[in-house]
Amino acid sequence: MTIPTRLTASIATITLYAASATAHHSFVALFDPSREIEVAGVVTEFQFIAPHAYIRIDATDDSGAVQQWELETTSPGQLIRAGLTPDVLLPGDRIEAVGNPTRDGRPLMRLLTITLPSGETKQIQ
Amino acid sequence: MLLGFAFAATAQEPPDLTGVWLATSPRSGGGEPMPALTARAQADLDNFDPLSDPVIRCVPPGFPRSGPIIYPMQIVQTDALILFLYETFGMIRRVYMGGRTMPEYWPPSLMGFSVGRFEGDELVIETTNYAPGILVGRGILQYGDLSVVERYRLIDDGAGLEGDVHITAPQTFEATWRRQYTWELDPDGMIFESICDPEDSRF
Repeated sequence: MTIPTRLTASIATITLYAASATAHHSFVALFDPSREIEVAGVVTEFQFIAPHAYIRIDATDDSGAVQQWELETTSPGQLIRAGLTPDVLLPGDRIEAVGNPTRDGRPLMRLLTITLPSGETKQIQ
Repeated sequence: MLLGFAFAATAQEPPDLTGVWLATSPRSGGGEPMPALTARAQADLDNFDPLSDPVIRCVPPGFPRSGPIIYPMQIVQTDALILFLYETFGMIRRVYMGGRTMPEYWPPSLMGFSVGRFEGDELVIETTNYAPGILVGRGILQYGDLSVVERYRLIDDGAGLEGDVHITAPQTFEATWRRQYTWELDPDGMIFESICDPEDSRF
């Protein structure tokens, strides 16, 4: 399988940039909606549950160290409408994710967009 | 014959709002900015612990905190009752039509008690009898004096829905909060189950 070079971005190349300061009320406890980060890795699990589904990935940094990340998404219903379902995103898939980081730095993000192995980018929320 | 014509000319069939509606408003909603908080509400906001939010335990957020915001809803319309079936948390809201009123005792609730009527081409809903709770997720509370008036109308030849939601809570806000939302009809749309298990909480 050919992996697009842009999917080789690692957590060592996390970029931070300003995002619109819209209110995300239900996420206020965990996430910082004023920042966005990029994380790339290999899917280990897609937990398709309410109220928010989770994608777990193994991300490898430039030194080769693997860190497990959780990508908190939206509801399963909204994911179905976005075309991101467990029969589309499978363990072993390499993905690139953009989302809001946690305030306390734990390896968890509120997923905004995801780029699939096909190169297609899906807007999640 | 003449009388029949006169009746037909003055009586207006209410619009049929039945369908699955996808929110097209920004997540923060439209309309006017949130009014100034009362001293009580501001003090409670200052002391709010986000981890105390019942939604973390899978308690539905209720209306109007959630419902019109970002997730789809299905409206089922009959002459006697209009149902709002919200996808988020599987919430159901019953709007009683035909002049029905709240029983003498009705327990305060997350959804309150809603009665509706048609005024021309608008569905007007008035809701009272809310249990105290969180009105805005980041920690703005209401204290049981909340009342909400909604006005819904079809737009774009029935392909869209527009709603004004006026939120009055004198112990929380210094003035009525006038919000606006829009939706688009999903003709083949379906509402998915959304049952939350507290065991899956990530907080």
